[in-house]
Amino acid sequence: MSLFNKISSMKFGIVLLGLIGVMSALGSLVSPDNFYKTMQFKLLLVLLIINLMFCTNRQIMQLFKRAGRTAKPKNKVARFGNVLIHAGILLVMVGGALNAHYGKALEVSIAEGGTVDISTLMPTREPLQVQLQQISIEYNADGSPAQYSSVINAGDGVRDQGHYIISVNHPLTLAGIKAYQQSLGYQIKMQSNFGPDQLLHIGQILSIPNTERQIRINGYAPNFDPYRAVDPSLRPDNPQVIISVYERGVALGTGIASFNQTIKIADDTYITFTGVQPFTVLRLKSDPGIPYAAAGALLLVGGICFGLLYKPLGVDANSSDVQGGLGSEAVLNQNQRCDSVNGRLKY
Amino acid sequence: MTSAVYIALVFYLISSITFFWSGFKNSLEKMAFSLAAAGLAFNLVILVMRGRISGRLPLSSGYDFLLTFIFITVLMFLIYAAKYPVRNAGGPVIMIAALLLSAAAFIMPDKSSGLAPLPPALRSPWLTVHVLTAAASYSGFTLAAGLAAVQLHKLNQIREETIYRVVSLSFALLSLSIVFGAVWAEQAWGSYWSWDPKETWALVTWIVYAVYLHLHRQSKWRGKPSNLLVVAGFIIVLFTFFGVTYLFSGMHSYS
Repeated sequence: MSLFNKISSMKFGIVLLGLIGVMSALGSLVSPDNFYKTMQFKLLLVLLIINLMFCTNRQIMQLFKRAGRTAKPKNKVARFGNVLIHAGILLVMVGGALNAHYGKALEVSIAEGGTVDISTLMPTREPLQVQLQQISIEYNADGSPAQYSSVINAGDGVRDQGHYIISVNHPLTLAGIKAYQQSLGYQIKMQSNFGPDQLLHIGQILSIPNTERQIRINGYAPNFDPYRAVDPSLRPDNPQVIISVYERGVALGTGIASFNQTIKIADDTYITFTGVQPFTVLRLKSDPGIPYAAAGALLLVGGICFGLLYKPLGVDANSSDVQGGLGSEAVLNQNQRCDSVNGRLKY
Repeated sequence: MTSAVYIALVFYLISSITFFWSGFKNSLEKMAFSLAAAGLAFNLVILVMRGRISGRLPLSSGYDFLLTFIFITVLMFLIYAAKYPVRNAGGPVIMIAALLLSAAAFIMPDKSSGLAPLPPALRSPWLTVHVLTAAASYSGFTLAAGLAAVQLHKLNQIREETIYRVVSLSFALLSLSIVFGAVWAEQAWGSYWSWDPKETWALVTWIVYAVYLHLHRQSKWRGKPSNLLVVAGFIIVLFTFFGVTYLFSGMHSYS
């Protein structure tokens, strides 16, 4: 058997599928973040793409060859479906490969009123600047979030292109970039008697001048409930800032602070939290493989309807037209015929 | 609602034992069938009640998914059993349904999670089609595994072809579920494939059954080897649902 025949054979495809299955399972157990980027795993995927290309090509050739022969219409439909399934998977994989090599994705945080020049972060079709006008949160009756939205103003730096809303499950495409509502967060506004007003982020450690003390912003609880470790509510019914105070690296204590409550950190040193500054986190993505993956998904769904739901190949025990499709090795084992008894099946 | 779960569980358990017993006494088969149907009715009552309380189809939590998965499994089996005489096949299939319902009743920690309001990411029409096709595919694989277990005990050509048909249908549903999930993930998370543990193990499950569908077309692989693969595939289905949910963290944490 020539190398070409080996690489394009169903047997080789099955071995590759099996290896990819085992490697995928191991990858999820060992190192999910890095495993699927290793050369060995990528090589398996490339080999599967090559195998699928030859396999799909052979199936199409067989489909045309058989077109002149008298085959059952149902089997013709099923064969056509199988071609679509293989071609669909091939296109999805090609789309994924294009995204892996030429796609780009990043997250940007924008505070209300802030502007980000997207064109400086990733390639766009035309200059694109985004200004966050407002963050909007819809709440369920229990205070948990029902939807996050970012109201943005897009422009090219000179002209205003209009207002848009990006929310969860409703991304926005602008200048070849797709923007998704990823999450949102808060910065804490702080006044003190030792310096200018500040915006502190969660996790930030602030040294207090003229002392050996530090404060750490542990978190912001929009609806603080001392009896619940995690409250799903984001509605600011009882907003509190959770802080810890340290001296020379040793924790002196942790507590909660309400807004506009003056807190003594050391002798003659006071801070006051005055509110929060919300910011949105948008995921920006350019993926040149999407059209291929989308076309592949459509072919796959079409192929499933024709090939598997309409009538699986090779299941008609009385048909002589069971070969081909997924492979040409299918032969019914005559020794495994049904052991029917008086027309009823014996189980 | 909890009592309905226990009643359905008792019906399924007795039905399964009766199905096993009907291998020795044929007259018990109808009774086993009726017991399974009664369990299914209570299973439906639980789903309807959860749907009424939450105001949506009960599909948004792992507990809801399991109840739907069990319901479709038993429904598929009863349709299959009404079409063909089943005898021994009912024992393993309904026993699996009973064991899964036991897991729902005694192991799953938060039965109220599916009744809470949906988080933003789950507020999508893709939730229904993605989860329903996943549950239906898992159900088909369960039915196929039960039939394959019997087939390993005693070969029968028509049952062999039935297993192939059921796996084909379930594989198609799993493929659709993965495609729908990918379209949804692209909308919600900005990536149609993230190697999230649930995605990865759904792919592993898909690969196992894809290998089965290819191998089954070769006569030398039919019978015991292909049926062992169907049973192995079902074990991976169980791991994809229970193992991944409880052992891994990821984007499917609410499932």
